[in-house]
Amino acid sequence: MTAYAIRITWEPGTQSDPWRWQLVHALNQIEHWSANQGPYEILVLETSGRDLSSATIRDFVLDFEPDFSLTPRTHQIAVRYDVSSSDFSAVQEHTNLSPKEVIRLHTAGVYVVDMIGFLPGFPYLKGLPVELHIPRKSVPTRINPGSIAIAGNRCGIYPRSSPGGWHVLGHTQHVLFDPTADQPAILQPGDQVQFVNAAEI
Amino acid sequence: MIQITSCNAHTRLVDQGRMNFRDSGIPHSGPMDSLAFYAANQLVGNDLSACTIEMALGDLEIQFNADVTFAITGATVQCTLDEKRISIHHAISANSGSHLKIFRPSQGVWNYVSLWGGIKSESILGSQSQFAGITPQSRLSAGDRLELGLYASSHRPGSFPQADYGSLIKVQQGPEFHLLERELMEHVLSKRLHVLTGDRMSKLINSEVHHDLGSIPSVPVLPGIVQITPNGQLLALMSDCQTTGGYPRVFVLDAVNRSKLAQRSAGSPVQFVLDKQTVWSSHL
Repeated sequence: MTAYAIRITWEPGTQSDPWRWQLVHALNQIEHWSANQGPYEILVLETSGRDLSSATIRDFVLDFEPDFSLTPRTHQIAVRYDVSSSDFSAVQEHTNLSPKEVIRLHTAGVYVVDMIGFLPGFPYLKGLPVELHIPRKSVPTRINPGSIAIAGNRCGIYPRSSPGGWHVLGHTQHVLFDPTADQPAILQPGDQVQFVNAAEI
Repeated sequence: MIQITSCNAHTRLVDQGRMNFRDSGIPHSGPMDSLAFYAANQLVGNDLSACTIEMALGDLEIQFNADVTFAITGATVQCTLDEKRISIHHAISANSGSHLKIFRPSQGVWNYVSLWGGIKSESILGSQSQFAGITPQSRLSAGDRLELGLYASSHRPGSFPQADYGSLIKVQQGPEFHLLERELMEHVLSKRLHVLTGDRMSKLINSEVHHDLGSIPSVPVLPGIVQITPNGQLLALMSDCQTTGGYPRVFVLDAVNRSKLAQRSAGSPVQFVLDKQTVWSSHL
């Protein structure tokens, strides 16, 4: 039993994000094809043992027409911000912002799920306000399930406990991963996420 | 029915794995040594993808509460059935009530026990392979009882050549191979390297190549991809690896060479040899 892998790459900036999200989704609908993605790359596996010719994939990709009129799903996620934690303090120190300002900025934007990776169901969210961009920690720490964390220009949510180098801002009870569901990762690439301050609900 | 009477923390149910949920971040969780896994099933006449028991560093005892046909494959290890030595890499029939004991391997890491009919357990997302957060149990424990499946026909044991577990590992060029300077690459390929640590996620190999590649934007990764870390070690991704990674992917191992590397224990020497093949493809 052999699986063949084919990489699809393009020059950054030449393809839109919705094209990539919808293409990966479409590739995953084909029996025996399993695709996953990074910002500038898609990797397709043929899992049946048949040799996957690059011409077959090329034709599929070139023929693919995304539907740009689709309305993305939006998830509202309630966050309990841990303003007294050392991670939160580190963010304040780096950004020179008050706790209130950090929370205001973090809940202001609409985020988009760019990809799922790192852990089962872990979303990489685009849309973190530039004021909150912060380098990842040099030494990873233990991170609890449900942690909402930031690093670089991304925000992420830890579906399970794991070592991690991101700065935790708060926690959510929102279920992100259910292995018994047909679609185990609840957030999907292209979905929108809005964070709501649980203290204000 | 069979019962695990003793095992270590690296003992779990493994089948061919779950490959269809990579975009949800779900690891493959297939066998560490796929050659030994297939051999185990072939020897007893199972479907090649049937669920087996996988263990690292031996230390397993099983009580058979039914007549069974089983095979042990993988690392070189001493085994007894009711305290009589048995050889690995053979189909063996045992009566109900007998007791199998697998000691610590003298060479290699991973062993497989296949049982005719396969092991029955809940399949989650297309696989019985145990993985924390996916299956109810992340591994097997002493006291676990396992039900066996049944085939309509009696078993037709096959043969399967025993794998060569030497230190020579053939690698192919990975997608970021060309980012490494030629001299650095030649340094990696000419040196006798050593395995530092390893588990089901990855194998860390000391290469100590001083480079300035740093990290790259997250890219999809697979078991068999070899990354180079910022401090110049090689990180070979194994069965439970993440689905995305941020280190340059300098080499790719096919299933045979990934299995060979999996069997190299911590401290063992390895030597990487560049395969002539230039087409980038990964055989899981």
